Amino acid sequence: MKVGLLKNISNKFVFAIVSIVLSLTAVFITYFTIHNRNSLEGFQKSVGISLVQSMAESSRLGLISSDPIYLEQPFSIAMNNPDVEFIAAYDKNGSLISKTSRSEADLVLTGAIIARIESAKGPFAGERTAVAGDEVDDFFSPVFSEYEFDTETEELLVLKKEYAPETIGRRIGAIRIGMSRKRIDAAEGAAFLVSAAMGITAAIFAIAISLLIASRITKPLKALEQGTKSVIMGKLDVSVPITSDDELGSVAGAFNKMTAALRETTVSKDFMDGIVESMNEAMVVLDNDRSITTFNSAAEKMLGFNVDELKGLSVDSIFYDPENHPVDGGRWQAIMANLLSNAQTEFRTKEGHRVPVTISTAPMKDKEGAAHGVVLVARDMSEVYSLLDQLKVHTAELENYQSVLFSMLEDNERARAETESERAKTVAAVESMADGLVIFDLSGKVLIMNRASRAMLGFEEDTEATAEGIRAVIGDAFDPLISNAESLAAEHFACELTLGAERKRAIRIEGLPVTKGGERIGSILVMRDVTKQRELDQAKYELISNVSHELRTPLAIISNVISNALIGVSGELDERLRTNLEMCGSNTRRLTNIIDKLLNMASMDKGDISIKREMTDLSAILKDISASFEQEARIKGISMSLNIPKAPITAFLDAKAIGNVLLNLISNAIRFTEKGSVTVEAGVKGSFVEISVSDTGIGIPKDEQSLIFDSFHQIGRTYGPGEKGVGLGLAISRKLIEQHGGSISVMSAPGKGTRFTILLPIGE
Amino acid sequence: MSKNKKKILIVDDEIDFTNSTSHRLNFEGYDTIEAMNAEEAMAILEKTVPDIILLDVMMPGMTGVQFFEQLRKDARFKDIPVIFLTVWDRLVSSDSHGAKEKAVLVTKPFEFDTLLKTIREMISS
Repeated sequence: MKVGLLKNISNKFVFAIVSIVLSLTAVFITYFTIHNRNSLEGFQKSVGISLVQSMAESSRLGLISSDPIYLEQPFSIAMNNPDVEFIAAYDKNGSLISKTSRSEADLVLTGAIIARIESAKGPFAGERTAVAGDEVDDFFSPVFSEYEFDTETEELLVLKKEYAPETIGRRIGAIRIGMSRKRIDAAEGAAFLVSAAMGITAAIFAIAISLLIASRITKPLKALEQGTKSVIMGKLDVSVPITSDDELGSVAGAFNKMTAALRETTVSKDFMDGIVESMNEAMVVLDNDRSITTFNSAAEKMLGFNVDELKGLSVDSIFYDPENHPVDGGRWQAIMANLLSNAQTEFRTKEGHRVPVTISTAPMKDKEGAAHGVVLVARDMSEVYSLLDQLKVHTAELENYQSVLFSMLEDNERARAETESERAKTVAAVESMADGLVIFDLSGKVLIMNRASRAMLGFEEDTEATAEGIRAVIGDAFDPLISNAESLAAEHFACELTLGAERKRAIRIEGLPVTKGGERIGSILVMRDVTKQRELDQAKYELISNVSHELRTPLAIISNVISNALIGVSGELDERLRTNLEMCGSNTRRLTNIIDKLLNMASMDKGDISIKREMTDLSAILKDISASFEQEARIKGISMSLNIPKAPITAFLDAKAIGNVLLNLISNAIRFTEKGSVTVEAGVKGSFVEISVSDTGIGIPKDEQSLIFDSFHQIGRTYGPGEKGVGLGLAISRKLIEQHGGSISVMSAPGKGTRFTILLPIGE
Repeated sequence: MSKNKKKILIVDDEIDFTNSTSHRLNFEGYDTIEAMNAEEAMAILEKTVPDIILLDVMMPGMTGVQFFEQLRKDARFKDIPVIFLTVWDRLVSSDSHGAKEKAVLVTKPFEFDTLLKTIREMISS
């Protein structure tokens, strides 16, 4: 019986009943073959026995509880058999629980016969256990008795009695069915059709019974099968095989426990206990004082109490709210009247935890109908509630997401509005800028060209702002910037032009790639009118130049006089005077150096570039220049060294220009070095001469290294305003070097030092 | 003034400069004639032709450059070597004053040895 189909009790019942139907059909086939009265009688007998047995089975609860309500169903089913005239059920003591019979109109047997049968000796005589020497009738109940009614004497003659074989045990009650044989007599003539009809009817009824039983009786109670039949027969020492692990199996187990215990205790209680134990639901039985008398292991498990703790407790103590629950004092009467049955509430476990439960209550009544307690069945709803809670949480999360989404949408809307107004502000600000600004998109199209830039480039009011128009004014030097749209390291572009009426405006133009989040989004040209600045530069140059030259004349005289005196033009000198004059001489040279540098700076700032190349002794220049810085380096505490080959290096170059470049590089090196050394090196490399100026100074940030040779770039503005004015130095240096056909480059590690390297062609 | 002594004309509006330079050159064995401006120098040239001229650039009246150009136009003086002595080094660093034209530039102030070396080279060439 382990087949899947039969794991369900209902299916088993269907199977069982269908088997009965099949056997009945077999009986009919036999009847058709033999076709005599005996077979008809036999058939009715077997039908009767089957019927009474199946009734006994389905009436168990009614017999045990002596409650007629449980008998209604089996009675009505049995009454479907037209031969059944009456049914009676008796408890274990032989007392009538319930009986039914056909209405007068339908009655085949006369009322007198029924009365006689009913008054005949009871199905069994009292509750007792069989003992040795018992007469059959004293103990066994006949399962089949055949009577004949003598209509003249009105005597009921017992023709035949049959007893249930081999079963022995304890009676729980009896079912008596009276069946008329008149129908058989009437059918004798037309046995075929009638019998067939009966067979079909029986089959239909059997299927109906099976379906009804299968659908109605779902409790494990009905799983007792053969064992229960034996118990009905009074043979109580039986056990049913546990052949499956379904409800039936557990009930069978319970049944076996029950039968084992039947001898020592009352049948109904232990039977109930067994069933109750096997339930998954918590079952608690209360007495009339609302005290707990019985409970099952499910209840024990659910509540966490053990047997001794729970027994005798008021039912209030198992509810979370002991004063207000479905079985509280206020509702008790309603429960007793069977008016309340289902409710949801919470149990309180021994540890004080809440257990949500759905409970059903039903009053227990004795055979007289008097309530003697309440049965309470509770189903643990924790899992269901926790699922519901989870659902609630998910719902809340969804709502939360939804609100976040909405707020995001709102934010987005707001942000867009803000962006619009920001853009308007930006455009207005760009328009009112004093600096010229032209913004290009990636394709080189002009997006914005502000008023200042139009004025600087001389665009008329109605001139269309295009890259071509701008190119016509400033030349094509910015083409690489706007055409290399994808390149992040696009050409940085810088130039200075004299534009405007009579070309008197000095306009500095810088072009920069515009990036956002690491992506190139366009380019800009920034234009600044530096006319004022250039005028100031010029004025500064002129001032410095004039002052320097004015100073040079007296210096030349002083230098001459000192030189003359030291050489002895005016006669021999005493030693002290000579020393003093030498001091004057060296300081005159120092002053001359300072003025030279000042002049160089001023002229470089002004941007005067023109070179005149000739074969020059570069070694001598290097010596002179590095010597001129020695004192400055010494004062700063830096070592100054010159590493050049012994053989003089000569190259075709403008000594003054290269001198200025070196002057600029070395003075920067000293300026930006606080400790360590400044080293000047030179050597021939193929057709080039390589000159390097390295220092151990602060270095140049990586991102500035590529920009330092650009015009107007000031190395590290952080050096302070005092350092300003050499911004053009490296740009001019590069121009001078490039005019020589050479190159200048830089390598620098911030914090470690910088090395400038110049490559100059040796020959023409 | 010995005959074999080289004669140097010094043209400079700074009297202290011409004096101190003259003293030293005399000490070094040169004869010197001093002029305070271009006109005065021109007058001197009419009387005597120096072996070399030390010429200031910035002077009141005719500048050193103008004087030089006039000098080079005159066949009598076009071969006299000229050393420009000036604080305005950049002003005259143009192509027109190469070695071929027997004109060089010495920036004031100068190391006297440098000047003496240049004078010797210019006279001997």
